[in-house]
Amino acid sequence: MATAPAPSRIYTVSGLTNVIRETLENRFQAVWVKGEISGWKVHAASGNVYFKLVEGKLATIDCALYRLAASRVTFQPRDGMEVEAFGRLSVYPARGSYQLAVAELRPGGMGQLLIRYEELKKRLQAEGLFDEARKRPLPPYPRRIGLVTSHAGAAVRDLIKVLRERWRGIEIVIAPVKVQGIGASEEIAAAVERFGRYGKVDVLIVARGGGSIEDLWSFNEENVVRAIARSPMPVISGVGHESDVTLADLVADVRAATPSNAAQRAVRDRREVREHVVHLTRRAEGAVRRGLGNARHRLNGLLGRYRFRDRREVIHGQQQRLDDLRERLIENLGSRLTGSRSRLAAAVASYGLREFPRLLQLRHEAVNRLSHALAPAAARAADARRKRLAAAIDQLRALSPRGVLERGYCLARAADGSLVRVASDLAAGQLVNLEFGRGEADARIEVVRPGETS
Amino acid sequence: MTSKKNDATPAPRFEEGMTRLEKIVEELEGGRLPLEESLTRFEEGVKLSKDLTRTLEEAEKRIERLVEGPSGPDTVADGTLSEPGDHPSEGELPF
Repeated sequence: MATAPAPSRIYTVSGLTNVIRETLENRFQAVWVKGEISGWKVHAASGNVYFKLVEGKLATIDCALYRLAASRVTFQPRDGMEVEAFGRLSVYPARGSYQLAVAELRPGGMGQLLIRYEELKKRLQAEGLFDEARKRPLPPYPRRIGLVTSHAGAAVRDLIKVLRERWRGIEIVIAPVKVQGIGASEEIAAAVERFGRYGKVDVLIVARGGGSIEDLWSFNEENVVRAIARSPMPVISGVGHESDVTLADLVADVRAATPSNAAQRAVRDRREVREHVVHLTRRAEGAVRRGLGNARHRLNGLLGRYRFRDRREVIHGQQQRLDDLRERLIENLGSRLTGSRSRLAAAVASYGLREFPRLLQLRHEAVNRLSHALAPAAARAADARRKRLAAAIDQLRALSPRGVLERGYCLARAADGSLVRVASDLAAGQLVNLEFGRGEADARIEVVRPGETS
Repeated sequence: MTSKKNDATPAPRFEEGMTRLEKIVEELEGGRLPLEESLTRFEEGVKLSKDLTRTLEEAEKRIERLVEGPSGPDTVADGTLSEPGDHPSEGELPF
């Protein structure tokens, strides 16, 4: 009968369990394991999911997928499905069992694909293909848009619908391609290159509707990424859903979340643009109206200046010059006062409140001095002009017939009102009218002495 | 194969029109233009805004398909987009 060796140490159950727990939990803190789902069960109250990963009849591991991790699972796991789970082992001492606390769950077979994806991503990143600096701006108002997508399915319909909704006259050119499966990436890359050679589109959209990660895989292929990187026109990617990020998305100039979103990014909404055009036109109109208003105002000002002139006094030159002079003086005085006022304001602003009262006083005095100096000057100048005007009026008067009469002459008129220029026009006994500098008289001719004819 | 030369008569590009209109508005609002010139500028702006609006109201264009011809890529106006034999189950798309 075999005998156990003499115990150097006897564990308690919990003691041994704790050692097992430490050993397992330390050893398997982060581990990937693949297997088939069995007994998938969502705990209604907590939202946690419990299942087993099994490998035929060889082995079974209990798994727990807690609510938070479960919410991040992007596919619908079912019993019998091959999956890959990532997590850590935890031991339950009370039950003497262990389970995998799953942090991430994905469909099986993805492992190799993802490793390749990561490698390619790193390599292209190192080449600078994803650099922000490479991103080109989109043309604000493209006229022609190229689409690289399947000609079947919702994506192309969404693209066309949204593009035309936003910009009805948009010209659309499609290069239909396979977007999944064998040969898809070659078709996509070739279409992007064909558009590059064609050249007559302003922007290119590379799009595919939502699908599983495998469905979107063509957009992670190197030839597609490089074709997009080489495209002479900016490229918008719209692949899958919001959460899917393919390498095509990373290399595109603009990454849209979905095909519809790509269409939205590509063209502006013509209603908004029309609003903007209307708005701009209104602003232009307003500015011109203001300009015209100002001009009219100035014109009225100019007319008003002459409104009260006595038009019967037709001594244009002098009066006008007098008026101009007066106007200039007033303007000059006004602008100096305004200048002083704004300098005062500037000074107040720069010196602050402490200096304000003193400065205010100083400026007031300056303004007053200026006003006092300018007002008499203005008055003197106006006075001089007025005197010259009066002299000019006197001169003009002297030259007029009335002025002559005032110098002692008089006018003789016949009964019909005609001026009598020679004595021989008159006859003895005839009535004449005499006009003097002031007043007139009627007289009868006594004798006519014709004088010598020349 | 029909060869459509869409860029044979290039319409004034929308973008340029918008930029010009914005510049005109800026100049007018700046208030430094003589009245005569500002009216000329305004007339230009009104014409631009009409042209731009007309572009916005353009009718839908046919969808073209980019194919590779003997002399390189060319577009074929083709509203249907169906590729006989390639996707027999799809039929014609309604655009």
